[in-house]
Amino acid sequence: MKALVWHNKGDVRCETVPDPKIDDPRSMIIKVTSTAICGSDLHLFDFYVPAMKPGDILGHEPMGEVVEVGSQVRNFKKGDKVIVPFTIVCGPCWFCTRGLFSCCDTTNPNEALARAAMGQKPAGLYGYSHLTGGYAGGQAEYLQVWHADASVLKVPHDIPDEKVLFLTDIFPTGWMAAENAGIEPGDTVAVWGCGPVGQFCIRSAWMMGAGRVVAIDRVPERLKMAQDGKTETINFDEVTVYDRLMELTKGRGPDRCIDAVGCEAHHTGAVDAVYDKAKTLVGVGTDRAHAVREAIMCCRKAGTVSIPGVYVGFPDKFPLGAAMNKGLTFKMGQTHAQKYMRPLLEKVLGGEIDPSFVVTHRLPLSEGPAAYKTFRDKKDNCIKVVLKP
Amino acid sequence: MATLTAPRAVARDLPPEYAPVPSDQKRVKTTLPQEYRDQPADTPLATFLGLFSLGLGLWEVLAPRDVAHRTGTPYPALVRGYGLREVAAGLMILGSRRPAAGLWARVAGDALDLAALAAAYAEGNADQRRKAAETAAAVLGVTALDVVCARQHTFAHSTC
Repeated sequence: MKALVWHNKGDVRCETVPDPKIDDPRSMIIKVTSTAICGSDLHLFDFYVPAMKPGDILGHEPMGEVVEVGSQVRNFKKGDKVIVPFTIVCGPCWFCTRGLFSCCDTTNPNEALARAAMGQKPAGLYGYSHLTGGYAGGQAEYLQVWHADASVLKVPHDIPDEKVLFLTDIFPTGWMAAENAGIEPGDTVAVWGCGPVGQFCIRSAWMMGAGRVVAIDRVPERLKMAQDGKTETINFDEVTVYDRLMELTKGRGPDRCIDAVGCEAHHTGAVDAVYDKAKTLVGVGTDRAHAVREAIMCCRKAGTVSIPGVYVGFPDKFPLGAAMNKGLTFKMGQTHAQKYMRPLLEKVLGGEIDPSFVVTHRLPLSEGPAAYKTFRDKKDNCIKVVLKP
Repeated sequence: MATLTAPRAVARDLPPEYAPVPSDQKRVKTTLPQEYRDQPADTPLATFLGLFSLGLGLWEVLAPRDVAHRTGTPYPALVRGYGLREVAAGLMILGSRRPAAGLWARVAGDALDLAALAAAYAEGNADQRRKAAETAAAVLGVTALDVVCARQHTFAHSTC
């Protein structure tokens, strides 16, 4: 089959690889009908996430049609249309039974590596380095779906792929970020980053009762997409974010701050951002953490900072003193996708939201390598790429 | 499957401005412009050459007499100027998503280095000639890497 294969930093290729086989009776094989490139794939592409190996298949936002089921799979049969969330979960472990699916205790086989890097091991993830299990990803023609009964959701055949595809990751991620922010009716919510996750954070914040949403980015088409609603925007190339947020909130600061940027923040004018860039260029830094630093400084006292953006290592100059003395609450984490996918599917089916608004490119798998660069470099007005294997 | 927890109660619907766009009005691109399809893969070689350029340049700027002595060239002021050029090329390579310009700048710089080494060889004593010849051999090796890498980033096509 064809698949997008990681070879090195900035080097992803569309190659022929062996077809997957069922080697666990709880797994099944799907023929991938749609699969997306996620912003966090770019961290792998740029080798910010260590523990990638040449030959790894990327992709953690796939959906498709079941073509073969293992002997212990009960809930699915050949021909079912399914979405495959990026987290692989077992179902009965301590964490899964509490809805903390991205912390599943059993699906990440690389415990030693994960413990060395993080203290404990998170759940296994598709196509997301050997820190999270080294599972083959879904940017491919076929995918072995692990722990199918616990992990996967069946969707109606008559609904277009792009309306449900983002239940695999970015819609639940945006929703959980807004939920983690603890939004109360009337709150002012500031969202750093208007990429795909940021766009879902914005819409989720509105759906949870925010009184005002302010989106921060510098890419015109992303700000425009955020502005399609009544969201106010800040272009950080034009104004100082802190000053503008204080102006908008009369010096109080946003009640809830969401960092949907993560470890590859851009900012040309800030000293800390230039320092981060220099460190990562010469290989002695792991994260460019300007967005979360700014969110902490801007957040109102006793407010909340929610972090759906991916961080990978040891960012420094973290203003913990400001966070402590202002009494901020932090919530973050990989998304417990299985907790949200079914209720959010109901919202999609009920017409409350059409997640396909975020799609700007629909491309064949063969254009995947170029799509990675186009998406990363924010060219061609690219916000979200869906690949059709 | 564990019991699913419903998301928080929805306080309100999305504002009407976020109403779904009818599918026939959506504009989704189904191909990439040729210039984006032809982008070469990033290569570790470019990163190496960028770091090499930066390191060598700093050495030349900070210790031009030492560099001049080791390479058999009697022009420390020129060495410092070349150092600034090396630093600029390194930053162009490391700081850009498309490092071809910085790599070709290195190739041009290599030519200048070789010209200076040729002049030093012509003017120098036996020891200086030996050092200049050894340095020229090293520069030629790096030049080959520069040309290979610059061509990759200028002419290479999609990896698919």
